[in-house]
Amino acid sequence: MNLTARQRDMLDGRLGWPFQIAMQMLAAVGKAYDADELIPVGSVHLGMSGATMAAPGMRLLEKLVAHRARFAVPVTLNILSMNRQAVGIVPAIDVQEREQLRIAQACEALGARPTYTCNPFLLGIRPAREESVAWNESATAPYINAALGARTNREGATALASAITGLTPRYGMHVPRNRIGEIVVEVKDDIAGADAFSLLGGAIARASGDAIPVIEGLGRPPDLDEMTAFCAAFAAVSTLAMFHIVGVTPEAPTRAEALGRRSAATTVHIGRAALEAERQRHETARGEALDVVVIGCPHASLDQLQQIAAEIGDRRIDPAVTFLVQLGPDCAAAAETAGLAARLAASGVTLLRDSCVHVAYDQIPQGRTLATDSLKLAYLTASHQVDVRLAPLRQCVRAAVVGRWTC
Amino acid sequence: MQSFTGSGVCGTNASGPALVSDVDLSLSLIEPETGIIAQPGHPLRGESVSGRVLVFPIGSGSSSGSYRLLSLSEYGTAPVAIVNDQANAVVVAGAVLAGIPLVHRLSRPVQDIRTGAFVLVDAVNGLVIVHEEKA
Repeated sequence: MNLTARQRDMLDGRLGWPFQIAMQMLAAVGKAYDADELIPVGSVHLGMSGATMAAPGMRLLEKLVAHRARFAVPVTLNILSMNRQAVGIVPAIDVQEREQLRIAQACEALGARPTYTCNPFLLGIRPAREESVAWNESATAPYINAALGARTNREGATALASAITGLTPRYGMHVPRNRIGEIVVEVKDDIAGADAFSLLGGAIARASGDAIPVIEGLGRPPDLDEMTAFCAAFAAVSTLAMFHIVGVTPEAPTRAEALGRRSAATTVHIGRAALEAERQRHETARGEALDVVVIGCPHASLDQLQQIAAEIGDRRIDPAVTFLVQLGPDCAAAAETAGLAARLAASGVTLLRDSCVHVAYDQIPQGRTLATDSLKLAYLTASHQVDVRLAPLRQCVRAAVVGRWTC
Repeated sequence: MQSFTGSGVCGTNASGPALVSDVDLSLSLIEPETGIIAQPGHPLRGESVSGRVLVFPIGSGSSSGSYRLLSLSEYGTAPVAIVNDQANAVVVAGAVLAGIPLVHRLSRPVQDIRTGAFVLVDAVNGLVIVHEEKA
């Protein structure tokens, strides 16, 4: 990989340890992928949950702070392994909570914005078309690439290296020819609502395999909540960071352009039957048991909170059921201002800020039954020995009100 | 003794007994305290990566695998080197943070290395030297 004189200085340690460790990561990744150069990134979304970074990750970040490092580009922060408003409630996770707070503090000292959400698109953050960025959190990558026409790979610790240097190796999704569609997916039935788009994301990811899908047949462009739900599910099932929706994805004004003017692509058809098959694939619970309902994967919007409140109406969640809505601190603050948080609390709904049940230190005990409208959460929860119901929001609410799963 | 030519990605050199996976491996599902592979359904589940040359085709699963490799290193349970068919960004970033030599793209599939063989990984020259007899 060709490095500029300044990049070489970073790698050789002449500009200090933070640039050196960051540049070592980027140079090695560039070499592994045959990248020809490093390119600037406009922003970084950084994963830094305590569950992921643990004490060694905390020490790494605090060492960066001690060396007076500063992030070179705007950085937003992904979710925490805890709700900052519920510190100390569970004594067993006290040590871990202190680690997580120190990690968050270090990131803020490095210059990050304390967004603490997996869904920064709700904050109006929209990288520009053709802009390269380095975004951690797998659900955000397809949104960046497919909805906005900006460019990111699915980042891990490399996002931290990009935050420090403002650079990323030019490979993968940063190279236009790697973004071209390879298979056509025709959606046969009308799909509406975030819960249905979540199933659609999983079904299309499964049908496409390693080929970047070009999606046609949606009756209208998905709204923001539908699109983020689709992206989260797509990235849970697929390793890809890209798809095209004809007429929505900036690079896909037509099917021909999405396919890079190549022909002979296979076409697959997806309809309600495929969505139902996808739902059943992720559902492991049997019988009437219901302990926890989780909505908000990815983090819920104010619109979704209003939908949940409307769905519950003047009913109340059964006291035996924990009804969680996962959301970012900005959305939670807006819900409080609007009186929505109080209304939901009165209905028996708990807001889980900053975090989600998958990465939270405070885990749902094994053997419980969890219901969700999110394919991604159903997929992730399978690793927690928890039984899962995957169903539309309406059905989750109805079951939570009566306190048992009813079909 | 067999010598495989590959491409060095990061680190210098190290040697140890090989632990070879025929299938992809998720670094994030290795227990930091013990170095034991806890990935459900994985053929190497229950084996420890500690002190071994960890050989697998390509990394899979969560991007948190990079930080897990750093944790393994701090606990003293990390592999001494990694050999992949293709190194992905999660494995590469983790290897850099943990200071572990990493070589990929060998002249032969990594499955040709046998578990227990004594392996020298030279990431500077992109070489993997395998001693057939068990370590």
